[in-house]
Amino acid sequence: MSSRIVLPRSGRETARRITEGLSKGSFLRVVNFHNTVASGSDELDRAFAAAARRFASCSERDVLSFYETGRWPKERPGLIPVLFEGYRNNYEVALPLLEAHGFVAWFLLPSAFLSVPAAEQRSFARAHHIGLVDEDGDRVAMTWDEVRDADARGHVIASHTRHHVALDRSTHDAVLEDEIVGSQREFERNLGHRVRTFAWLFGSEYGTDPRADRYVRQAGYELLFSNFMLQRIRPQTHAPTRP
Amino acid sequence: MTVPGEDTMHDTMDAATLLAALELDEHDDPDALLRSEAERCRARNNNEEGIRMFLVLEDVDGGPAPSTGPARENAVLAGAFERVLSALPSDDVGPGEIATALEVVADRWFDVGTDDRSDDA
Repeated sequence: MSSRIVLPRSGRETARRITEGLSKGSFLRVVNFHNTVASGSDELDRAFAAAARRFASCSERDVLSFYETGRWPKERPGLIPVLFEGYRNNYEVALPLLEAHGFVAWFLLPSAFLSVPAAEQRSFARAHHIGLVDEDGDRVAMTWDEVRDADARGHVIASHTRHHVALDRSTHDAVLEDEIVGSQREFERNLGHRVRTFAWLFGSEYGTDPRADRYVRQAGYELLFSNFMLQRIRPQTHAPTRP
Repeated sequence: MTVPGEDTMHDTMDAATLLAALELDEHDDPDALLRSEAERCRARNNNEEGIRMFLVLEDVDGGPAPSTGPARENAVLAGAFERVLSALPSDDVGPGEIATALEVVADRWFDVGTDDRSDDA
């Protein structure tokens, strides 16, 4: 998967920047999850319990505050548990366990997936690089009600494009706009507020394609979550986001 | 493979000190061990397994990136990344090599610079 990343600069320069960021302590720890099936809940519980002894929760507000002040506001280092794709098992299995151990979950959601009728979700997933596991029932995606509930409980809801697509420099402008700005509109319509964080399939960075960067700013995203970086994008408009 | 940022590592920690900090100094062939770790990380099923990772912070509008943590531990992580990258067999430094190196570092040394607070968990 990682070999499909499009980098905005050479690999050597990217590696140099990562080395510099690590050496300055300018980094955050994340754990990336996709499916979190019920049969693995005991193992997840133990892992989250162990993590809670070493790490603190990390919200978007914590990240933005870290950028504003230059200092991490908590005694323990922050940890971001990332739940990719909006699987039903993320909401039903991982979320209660993360809450029990005091963590803020970051849901990176391809917004169109959430509106696909249950009977069509598996075929949508197969067509859009969304991995499946053997589970009972048709519905594999979170519902918008579940997304709203996670949002209301203080977890991070973020855009992972509309259709789980990767950044490709040959992509037509209209598609870029739909996947970036259109996804934001979909979240705004369903949550009642904009989301602050955006991520591409395969994790491309801001700076890879000026057209994409322009749409990211137009949509009002403030953080871009990529494979190697969590980039701060200072808002140029002041459209309402979650308070 | 040429090690990107090699000077940075040497400014902060010499190779022997780094190997000791990474608890690799007892191994006959640390590079072989790291290549083996890289293969193990590449073989994981990320669809069903949590994958640890470090994300570097960057203000794309030129503001200062925040920083935190004990300087020595940060130097250990930076040195570990360089060391793993240099141990990989590829002559190129591409996205795949970078991702693998970061995954190995995160998998082995995620807790560097943290304390286990079992008593107040």
